[in-house]
Amino acid sequence: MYLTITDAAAALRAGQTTSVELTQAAFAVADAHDAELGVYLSRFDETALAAAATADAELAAGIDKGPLHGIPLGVKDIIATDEGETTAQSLILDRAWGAQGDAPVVARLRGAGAVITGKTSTMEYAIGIPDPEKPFPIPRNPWNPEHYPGGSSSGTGGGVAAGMFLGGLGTDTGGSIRFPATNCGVTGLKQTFGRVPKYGCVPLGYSYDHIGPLARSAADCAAMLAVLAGHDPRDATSVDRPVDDYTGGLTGSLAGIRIGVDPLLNHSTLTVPELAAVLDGATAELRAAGATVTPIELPLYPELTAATMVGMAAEAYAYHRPDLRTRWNDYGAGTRMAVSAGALIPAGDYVQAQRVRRVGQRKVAELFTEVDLIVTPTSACGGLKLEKLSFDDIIDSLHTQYWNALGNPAMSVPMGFTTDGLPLGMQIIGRPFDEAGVLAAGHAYQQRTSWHLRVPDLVAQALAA
Amino acid sequence: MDADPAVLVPALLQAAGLTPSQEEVATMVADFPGRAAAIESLYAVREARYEEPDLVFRALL
Repeated sequence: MYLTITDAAAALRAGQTTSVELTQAAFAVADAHDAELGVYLSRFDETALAAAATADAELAAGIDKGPLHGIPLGVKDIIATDEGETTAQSLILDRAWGAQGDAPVVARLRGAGAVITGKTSTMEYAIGIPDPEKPFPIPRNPWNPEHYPGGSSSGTGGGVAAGMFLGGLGTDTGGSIRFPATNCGVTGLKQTFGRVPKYGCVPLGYSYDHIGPLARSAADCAAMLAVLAGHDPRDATSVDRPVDDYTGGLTGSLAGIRIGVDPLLNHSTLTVPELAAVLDGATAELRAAGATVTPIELPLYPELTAATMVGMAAEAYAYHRPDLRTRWNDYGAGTRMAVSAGALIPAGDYVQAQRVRRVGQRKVAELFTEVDLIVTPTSACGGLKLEKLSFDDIIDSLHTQYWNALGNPAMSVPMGFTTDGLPLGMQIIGRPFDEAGVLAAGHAYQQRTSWHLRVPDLVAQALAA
Repeated sequence: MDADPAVLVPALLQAAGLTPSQEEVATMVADFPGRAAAIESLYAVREARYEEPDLVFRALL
């Protein structure tokens, strides 16, 4: 049952499986591996199986709600759901906050017939590093459990990779969808800022946060985005703009598309030697799909990365100040250090970061007159070792924060492995609101490669048994 | 930035009402020059001198 959403949807309609079978199989994987991988904070077995049975009955009666109908999906536990608690993986969050019920994104998934299987693990409040001192699971990479699956959407990324659900929701403020996507060998999309409403999601950086999909393919992310996207007036940053057709353009051809590539090899101290060759192999496939690929240099790379880190810290600090003052030790060590950094940032410096963001938007818009898409590595290396994990190393390893400063859509797709057998990801970026172009490029790449279909040995052994 | 981080950081934390451990304060002091340099790089962006910040205030909700 290690299927993409697209393949599972076809199998449901061909009568080859049922939603109940898909959901039971997903829970069986969790039964076997979740104690080790730390994907779930809470599972909704009863309500999920009831929803799956309903989906089966509806499909049998000719009621077809679209490709997510009957598909088991996980939800990151900073997003409110009808079932269970929302904890933000913290002792701090008032559990009454989550009692508001489904966030708009969850309601939309349910409206499309999806089966919500549970709440997935995250870094505390979507920032920090795993903390063994706190009563929450440590997330582990399905490709090598001694390594980090990436965060903060760790559980959703690891769960998709392990087959505990076919897709899921993550959030991304500096890379937290794309980071687990690259580390876990799955596909993750941070769409344009404001394209998907954030109401009902615990904030980290108000002007940097996104809720978005993780799944096994660009086509799957397209199916999810088609349901998630759209205006909601309860979110002040939600854009009132028609939703494009994200699945119709998945032709497999990139003829006429101009792609600029910046390998960013000198922007991290953790760059693995094999990264350049792996990226070259990936861009060769983009050429083979019809694209023109040329080298570019991203403007203001260190400055816009700084604009994300400074702005996010200041915005997070404003939210957390009351609890930081009175409950310092109830926070995990990594989280409290990350969010309290905002206390050291004068207000004027926060404003300066916002001025630099606008300069960056103008410069990158100029770049997009010469290219249609931009490609970079998602990160400099594979998943870091858990026993030596530091927040500074995480930030050093990532090439994602730049795009949170600018708001462009950015997606990570698997492009190969390190020499140690850990996944590497290619980041594909488009103009604001050109999610269709980004998804089309990811799909074209995945039509020619199979990295996104690889199964971690941990799961492959169970499937073979 | 000329201020001594060993003086500035504890003062800012005290003003914020935060109570990290001595070890945590030492980490923040050690990290401060790097953070300050990153902030200074924002002011070195020449084109930002007369740019509007990407902040939106609307008079109507």
